[in-house]
Amino acid sequence: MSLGNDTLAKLREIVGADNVLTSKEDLIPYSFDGTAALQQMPGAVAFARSTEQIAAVLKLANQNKFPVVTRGSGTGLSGGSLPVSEGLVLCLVKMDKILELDRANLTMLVEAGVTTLTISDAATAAGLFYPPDPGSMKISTIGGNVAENSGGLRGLKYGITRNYVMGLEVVLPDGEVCWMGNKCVKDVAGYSLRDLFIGSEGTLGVITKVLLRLIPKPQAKKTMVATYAAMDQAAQTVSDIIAAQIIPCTLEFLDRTTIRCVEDFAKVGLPLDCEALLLMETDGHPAAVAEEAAKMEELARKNGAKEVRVAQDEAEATKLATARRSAFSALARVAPTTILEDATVPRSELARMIRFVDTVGKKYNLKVGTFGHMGDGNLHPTFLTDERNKEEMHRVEEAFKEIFDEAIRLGGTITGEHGIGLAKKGILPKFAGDAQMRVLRELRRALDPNGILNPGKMFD
Amino acid sequence: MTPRLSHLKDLDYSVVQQCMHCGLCLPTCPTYDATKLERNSPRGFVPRI
Repeated sequence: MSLGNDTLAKLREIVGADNVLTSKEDLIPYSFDGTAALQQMPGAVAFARSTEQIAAVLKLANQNKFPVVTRGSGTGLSGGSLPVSEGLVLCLVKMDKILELDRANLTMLVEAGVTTLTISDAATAAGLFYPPDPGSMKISTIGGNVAENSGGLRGLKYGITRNYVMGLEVVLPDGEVCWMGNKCVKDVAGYSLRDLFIGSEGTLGVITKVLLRLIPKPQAKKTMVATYAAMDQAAQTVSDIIAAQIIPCTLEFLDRTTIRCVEDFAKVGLPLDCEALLLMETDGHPAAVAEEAAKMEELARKNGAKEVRVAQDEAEATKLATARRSAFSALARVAPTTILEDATVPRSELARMIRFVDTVGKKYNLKVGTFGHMGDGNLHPTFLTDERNKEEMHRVEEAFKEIFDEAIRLGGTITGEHGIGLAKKGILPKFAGDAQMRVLRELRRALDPNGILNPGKMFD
Repeated sequence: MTPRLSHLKDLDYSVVQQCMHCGLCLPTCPTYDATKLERNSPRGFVPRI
């Protein structure tokens, strides 16, 4: 279904002719997001600059019955912002203003197109802290973060995007504007609709403004890296740290393949002869940090760490954290296609799950690097492949099926922080079960009876 | 320009495929920053090759 000249003319009226793209060269970059091997050409891209414009676009979409896919910076990893073929991409990157920083209530009100890094920097400049730090935070927009309920490296101690959203302005599929939430810490008036929209992946409305909760900035931080001859030792260290009642802000691991790729790419000076690397960070009051860091170092050594390197200053800490942050890019250099997944299991099952991924990789003769958030059980098995090789891609699919089945069997989930989108639509019904699927479908139909917003994503 | 064009022809296609369109080129790209149009970014350019 193409948009038609009448629709395009009206779109130009609403957002301005300069803000509507229709030429093939302009559209190609909007035919994909950060997800591997998914592409679909849109019919047009419209850049909105205000809530009113978005409301007008959605009203038009209901009248003329065309699909709308909301997009921020297009860094998603489940195909959530992939266009519907010939449909409209509604891009919010030009709505990029911070509207208010309320120091008395510790909140920040922002437009949906503000990048996560801008928010984090603005909070830091005010002596405050916005903890969620998804891997793409340098460019990802807060609207996208809320729509996907993005996680990040600090999930274990500080939680994820959901934990920092106090209010939302949303344009409903029929074009009505709705505020949900406020600056009150306690608010139990009615259903928590705000929570319904967090993680709704652009299927229930267009998020236009976000009221964020900020917290005091931790005064001190200590970063260290431990390397091990066996992954189990790293996993045991994590278990022991938690058992010692320490909740570090970061507990990240890299496996052997990932360590080699990262070192080759970032030259941080990581030892290449180890099976596992653990990046640990603790923050808070200086005295508590010193005590916790000493204990964490002791537990790492007790579990047979070959080397524990404690960052002596901020520069070294940043360098060590960069090693982990560059894992995805570093792995991507090795093969033409990089497929990153985010199967997640309860923390206690993590070592078993990592071993399972390794075994499956060998069974299907695939190159796989695994890294991720060891503290919260969210791992990123990353297959290094080539989408032109159909036979190998088939083996990758088979391997993923086994990995997800195992994750579910261990009491885990099919996606910890990337979302369902298009990539995992097929396995959601099995995971969620009939009752949940029925409620999901009824909710969506009630809000979007014409199926305007992000049709074909998450579930049918 | 001629040597560069021939270089493009000889280039293995897989080099182009190395772009996994993650978008991490956008924050450091001055032309993207100025225009907010993806066609003016590395990620927007690579798939058009």
